[in-house]
Amino acid sequence: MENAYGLSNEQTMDEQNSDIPINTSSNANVKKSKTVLSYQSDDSDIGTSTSRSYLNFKNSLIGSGEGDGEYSSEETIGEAPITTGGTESAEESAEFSEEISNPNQESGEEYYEAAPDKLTENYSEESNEEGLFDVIGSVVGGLLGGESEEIREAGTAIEGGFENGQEVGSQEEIFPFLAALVPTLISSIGPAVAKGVMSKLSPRARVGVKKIAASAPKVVAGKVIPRAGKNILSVFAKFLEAANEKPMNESGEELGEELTSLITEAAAAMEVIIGKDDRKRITNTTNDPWQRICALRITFPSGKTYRGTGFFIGARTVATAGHCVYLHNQGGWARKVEVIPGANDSTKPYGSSESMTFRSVKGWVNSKKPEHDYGCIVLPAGAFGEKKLGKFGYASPSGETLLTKSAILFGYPGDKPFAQLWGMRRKIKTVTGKTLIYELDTVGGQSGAPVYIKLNGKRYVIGIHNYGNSSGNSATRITPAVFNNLKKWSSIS
Amino acid sequence: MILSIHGQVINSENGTPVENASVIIIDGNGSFPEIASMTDFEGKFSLENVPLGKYQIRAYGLKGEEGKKTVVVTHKMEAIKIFVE
Repeated sequence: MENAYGLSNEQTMDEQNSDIPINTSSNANVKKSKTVLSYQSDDSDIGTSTSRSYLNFKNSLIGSGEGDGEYSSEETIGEAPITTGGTESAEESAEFSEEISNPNQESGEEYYEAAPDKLTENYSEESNEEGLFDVIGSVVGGLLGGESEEIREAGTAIEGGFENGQEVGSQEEIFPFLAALVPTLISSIGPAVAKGVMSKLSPRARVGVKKIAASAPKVVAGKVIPRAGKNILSVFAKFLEAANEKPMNESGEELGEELTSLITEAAAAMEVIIGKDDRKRITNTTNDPWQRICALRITFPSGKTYRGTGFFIGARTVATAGHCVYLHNQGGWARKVEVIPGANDSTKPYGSSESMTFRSVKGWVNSKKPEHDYGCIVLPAGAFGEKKLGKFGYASPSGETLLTKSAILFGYPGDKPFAQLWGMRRKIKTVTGKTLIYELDTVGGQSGAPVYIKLNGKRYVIGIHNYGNSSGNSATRITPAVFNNLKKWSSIS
Repeated sequence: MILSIHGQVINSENGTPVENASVIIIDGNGSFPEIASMTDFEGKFSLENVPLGKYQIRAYGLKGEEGKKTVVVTHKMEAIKIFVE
C-alpha cells in the first residue's frame, strides 16, 4: 500500500475514432478508421433532471504522436475527483445519449465540462498486481504442414498460471505426448473421435479448444518462429474442432478399445493444458486497488436476487454493468443493491451500504443493447463515512494503445463462495468501437467488474465487464461517450 | 431473440429446494450476461437476456454442492431443474 491515500494521476489517450476494428495479434493488420467522433449514442445517460445531447471537451493533446486527444479521469484514493480533458466536441444523438435513473433518483445533478490537465509521466509500478503482470500476452504463430497452409493460433489461451509472481504450468510436460498424438489424429481423426474427445472435456476446456482453433491470427510462413508446443496444440485443436463439426456417418463409427483409450488420454491432456483456470484469488482486499472493487447483492422488484461486481469511480458512485441495476424481465430498476467494498468471504472490512439510486443509459434501458450495458449505483450520502476507499480512474485510450497493454479484471465470481475476489491479467484480443473482447477468464457474478490497464504506472479502467461468450468475454469499452457519463456520475457528491 | 432461463435448484439426495445457490452460465454459443442468479427459498432462479442457443448452466450451493445442466434456449423455454450434490 505504498501509494495509499495519495493522489495518482493518469494519462490517457483518447481516440477520435468511433469505429476501430483491431486485432491483437502482433502481425495482424490494424485497421483504423480516423473519423471524427460521432457516437450514435445509445450511451446517453439517462439522468435525473436533464438530458443532454452534446458533450464538449476542451482540446488536450498529449503527444500521442497522432494528434489523439484524451479522455481520462484520475485514479485517486480518498481524494476529490480530478479530471483531464478530451479533444473535440462529441456530438451525440439525444435519442440514446440520455441518462436514465430509477425513481429514487436524486435531483440537481449537472454535467460539467472536462478541463484538460497535465499528465505526469512518472512510471512506478505498484505492487499489488505485480504477480499478475507476467502473463505472456503476445500471440505467437507458426506453420506446420504445407507452406501455403495458414494456421491460426492463440498463444494466450494456453499460458501457464502464476504463483507468487512465478510462472507455473504443466503444459511443457504434455507437449511431447501431444506431439506423438498429432500424426495419428491428423490421419485418423473423424467425427466420432472428435466428438468423443470433446464430450470428455470440461466446458472451460471446450471453450479453450474453440478459441485456439478459431480466434488466433493468421500467420505467414517464415515470418514467425514457431513455438513447437503451441503449434502442435494449435494443429490438434484445429483438427479437433473441424472434425467435431462434421456429421457422423449414417452407420456411426465404431470405436475400438485402442481408440477409446486414445480419446480418453487426449481429452485428459487437453483438459490439463486448456482447461486450466488462470484466475488468482486476492485475499488482501483492503489493499489498493482491491478495496475499490465491490461485491454486489442485487434485489429486483420480482424478488429475485443476483450477484454482481462494481467499482468505485467517485465517493458515492459505484460503476457496474447495466444489467446489475436494470433487468428488463425482473421489474426494471433494482429494488436495492447491497455494496460491499473489499469483500473477502464473509468479511466486510468496510461494512456495506444499501442503495436504491441507480443510473444507466437509454441504450441499455430502452434498447437493451449489450454494448451500452453499463450503469452505476449512487450510494447514500455519507456511505462508508470517512473510510478512504478511493476510486478508479477511467480512460478512453486509442485502440492501438489498448492492444499493447495487458488488461486486468477482478471481480466476485459466482462459482466461488460469496464473496471472494478473483481475477487475472491478459492482453485484450479485439477492440471494436464500443466493445473490448478478451480471453480473461470470467464467470457469472463478475458482471460490472473493472477492466483496467496501467499507463505510466497509473490504473485506468478501460472497460466494464458484462458478457461471457465462448469466442471471447467482453466489456463495454470506455468510449468518450461512456467516459462522459461516468464522469458525470462520478461527480455526485 | 433474447430470452431467459429459469428453473429450480434441487438437492439430489433429499429432493429439497436449495436456497441461496448461485446459478451461472459457464459456456454457450451466444453472448450471455455474466450476472449470477441466486436461488430463493424455493430454489428458484432466473437468468435473463440469453440469446437462442445451447448453454451449460452450473449451480453452486452454499455447502459446496454442485450441479450442472445443458440447456437449449428456445422460444418455448420451460423451467429446468438442476440437481446438486
